[in-house]
This record gives sequence, structure tokens and C-alpha cells, in this order.
Amino acid sequence: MSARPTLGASLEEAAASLRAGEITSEDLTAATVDGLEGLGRRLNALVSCHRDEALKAASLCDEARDAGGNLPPLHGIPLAHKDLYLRAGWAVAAGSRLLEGVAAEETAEVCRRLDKAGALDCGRLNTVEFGLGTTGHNEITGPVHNPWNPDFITGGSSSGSAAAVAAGLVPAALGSDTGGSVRLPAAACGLVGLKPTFGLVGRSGVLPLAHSLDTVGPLTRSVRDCALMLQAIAGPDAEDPACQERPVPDYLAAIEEGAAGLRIGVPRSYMDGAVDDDVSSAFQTAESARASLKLAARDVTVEGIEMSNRVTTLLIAVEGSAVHSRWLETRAWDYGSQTLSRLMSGLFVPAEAYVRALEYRQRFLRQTLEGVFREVDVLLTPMWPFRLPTIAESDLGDNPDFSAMVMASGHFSRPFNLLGLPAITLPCGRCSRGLPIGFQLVARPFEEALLLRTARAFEKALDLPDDRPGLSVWRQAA
Amino acid sequence: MTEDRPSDWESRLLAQGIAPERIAAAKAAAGQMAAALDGVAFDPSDPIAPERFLRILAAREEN
Repeated sequence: MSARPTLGASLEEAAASLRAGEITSEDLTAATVDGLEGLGRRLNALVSCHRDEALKAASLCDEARDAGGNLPPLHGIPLAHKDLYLRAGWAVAAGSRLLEGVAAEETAEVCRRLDKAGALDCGRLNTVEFGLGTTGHNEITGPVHNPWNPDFITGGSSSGSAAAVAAGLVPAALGSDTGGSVRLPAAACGLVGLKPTFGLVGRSGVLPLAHSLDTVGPLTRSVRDCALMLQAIAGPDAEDPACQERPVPDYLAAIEEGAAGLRIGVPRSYMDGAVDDDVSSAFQTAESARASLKLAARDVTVEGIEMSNRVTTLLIAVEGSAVHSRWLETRAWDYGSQTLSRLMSGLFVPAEAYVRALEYRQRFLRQTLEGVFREVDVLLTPMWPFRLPTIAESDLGDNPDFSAMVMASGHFSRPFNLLGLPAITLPCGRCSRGLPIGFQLVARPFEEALLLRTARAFEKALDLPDDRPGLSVWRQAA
Repeated sequence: MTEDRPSDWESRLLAQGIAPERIAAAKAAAGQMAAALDGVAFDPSDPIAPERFLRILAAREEN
């Protein structure tokens, strides 16, 4: 008989406990679906929970463990993912009325890879409509509450994934990142969030937003868990032409080897005037960690970065409007007002501007690799440029201020979507209102192993207390 | 496609009852985004193709 599993264990801890027979997958999965259907619903993180399917799969996992033999790395661990990941037979609605009740006919490649790694899929988690937004607002499904304080946003668009992991309901969840949608909610909820290099992780079976920018990435509570998730999902995808055929390294092999000798670049001129006092103060903590690791840092200028946020916005609007053109023509009223406004703007961008945006991106990438990344190995930046707003403060409907807020929130995330570079966020402190603040590390293309090793070194140097959201606060307010 | 399908996006949106001022706001936002690229000239000697971007990412030793 297994011990009653406690939710909140890391992916590594859960895997070890399951492998050792200290807990059963069935018990852990039962606790997980209870948590998702209880607190997960109150946080508005949960969209759908497939309890019976998950429990049946968990029972089979336990039988396989009892039978002995080699077990896959995530054997029997219950997870849940953003409501953009298709699974055959499941209704996956992308937080929209347009797909309400439509059952998927295929399963996303990354979900198949997680199945193969032994993970269980318990359900889908809330998202900003079609992943188009950084604050977490969704007029159709309602806002997701930040487990650290229910009055505050989770950030978006992977808002449910961030809330569920931060609340300890699942040890990891997939999000997707087109302009910051993994990293921003991860940072807002005190998590680790990774946007892999464009082309490392397959996207077939993931509802698209902007094909030249969309990436799949995990949200976890530790860097090691993030590496475990990436190990499971990285690799070729025959149905995604952007996904590259290349060997996947062992991301955990050297993760404890530290960051000695790496050169760190800080784009200070891009930070000037862009960050508020809370972020600036927390970023100092990340800088102190860098200093304690004895990593040399230099100020760097990333040529062309000033306009990259706006160019990314243009690409998202144009590519998004192309994906949605059929519905925009016949069902425009079914979109939330913010989603419709942003998609409509894409319809009116001149084609030549889109072509010049692609041209700009190509040059921006080449000069960044030939310039900055010859001088340094890793970039260190803040994540959100300002302290987290409350849900009320950021509930701007589709008035022009919402576009300004989306633009401002993506100041440090979007340049690296445009460049396709791997970027990870991890926590470095709290703001004056008690909400988490994260920072970001960015590396060269396909250098996720180095990025994770660096992030792990920072995580150890920061040595933040392993505190969790005070969920009793949430319950009082609920 | 039906014969009475409006020929441009503004008409298609108006036909669904989207307010003209919302369409005007979308056009203004599009104009602002495009204006950000005013300084970027198209260079025919450096042709754009999605696979070229991928190649730069994948083969950074070229850089």
C-alpha cells in the first residue's frame, strides 16, 4: 500500500517516488484530478479533466511497474496542458467560442512524445483566446487567478498552465510561446519557463497562432524539471516542416557542471527607462547571483532590438489573421473583443510591410549571431518590465491602452521570439506587492543544454526559499 | 465562394455588423505597425525565404 501522495512534489521527486514504489500512479493521479477539479477550477485554471481516462492509464502504469523492467523517465506522472494541444477525441477549444465542443481528430506530436515518456494526460488548462495575449485575460472563459494572490493576473497566454503548476496541482505543464506566452506567465507565477529554439520541438497538433513564431515549451518549478520535460518533447516532427532533424542531447547530463567561464551580456541600453523600480531591484538580485558565480558580464548593444517588439507584433497579427481568415469572414462576433481587434489589424497590414518584416528578422538574426553572440555566450535580461498588475488594473477591454500594455509586457520576450533563440525565465524575487519577479537568460540557437546548465547555476546561486503560494489566501478570497 | 461575397475585408467585416470605428481603429493599428518598418528597405540580393531563416538558425557556424 502506498503513502498518500502529496501534491506539490517536483517532477523528479514524483518520478523517483513512483519508481521506488513509495506511491502509486493511481493514488497520485487521483489526488491530481481532485486538485484540478477543486482548486484548479476555483483558480479558473482548468478547462477539462479526463478523470476516468487518466485513472485507467495510471492503473496500467502501476501494473507495469509491479511487473519490473525498465520504465520511461516520466512513468505514471499525471500532467495537464494548455488548451491548444490536441488529443484525439478531446474537445480542445483554445479558450474560444469558435471551437467549443469540437473534438480533435489527432493528437499533438508533443503529447505523443510525453505519452512515450510515460506521462499521463489529465486534461486541458486555460489559455488566452488562441494564445493571443500576454496578460491572461480571456473574455470568453474569464481570467485565471494567480495562486500567489487571486487579485492578480497570471500573465498569458499559458495562464492555466502557470496557475496549475504554481499551485502544485501538476509538476509540469506545456505552454506555447509566440511572443512570451510561456515565459511571462511562468515569471508571474514564480516558475521556470522555457521557450526552446524555433524548430527544436514539433508543433503538429498544436493549434497555431503565428506559424513563423510559435514554439512549444514547458513550465515547471525547477530548472532540472524543465530539462526533463524538454528531453521528452524535443526532436523531429514529420508533420511540422519547421522542426529540424538533429540529434537531441542529454539535457541533464551536464546540468550540474556550473557556468564557469561563460561570458554574460546585459543589454543595459535596452533596459534603460523600460523597467520599474521593483523589477530593477529584483534584477539586481539576479546580477548578484551572476557575480557570486564569478561570471564576467559586459554591457552589450543588440543592434536592431528597439524595433523588434513592434515587428513581432506585426508578424503575429498578419499570420494570425491568415490562420483565422475563414472565421473572420463569417464569425467575427464569436471572438473576444481584444482577439478580434488584434486579428483585424493584421488584415490591414500592407503585404510589402510583412515582407520587409521578414527581411528585417533575417538581418536582425544574422547581426545578433555575428555581433553580440561572438562577444558573449548568454544574455541576461529582466522578464516582465514592470511589476505585475491586478486583474482589475489590466482589464482594459479592447481600448487602445490594452495594445500598449501588450506591447510593453513583451519588451524583453518578443525580441527572442523574432530571433528564434532559446530563452528561459526563472524567479529572482518578489515585487513590493508580494508577487514573483523573474529574469531571463538567452543563448545561441540549439544551445539549450548550455542555457539549462547556466539557469541551474543561477538557481543554485540565488538559493531562493522553496516557498509556495499561500493558497489559504486564495481560499479566503474565493 | 458566393457571388455576393464582398471583395475586401472592410466590407466583409461591415457586412457582419462590425462597427466602422472598430475597423478604423484596426486600420490605424496596422498603419502603426507597418510604419515601424519604414527604415527597412527590401534588398533583392538577400531574398527572403522561410527556409533561409531556419538555415541561419541551424547552421550558425556559417556566421
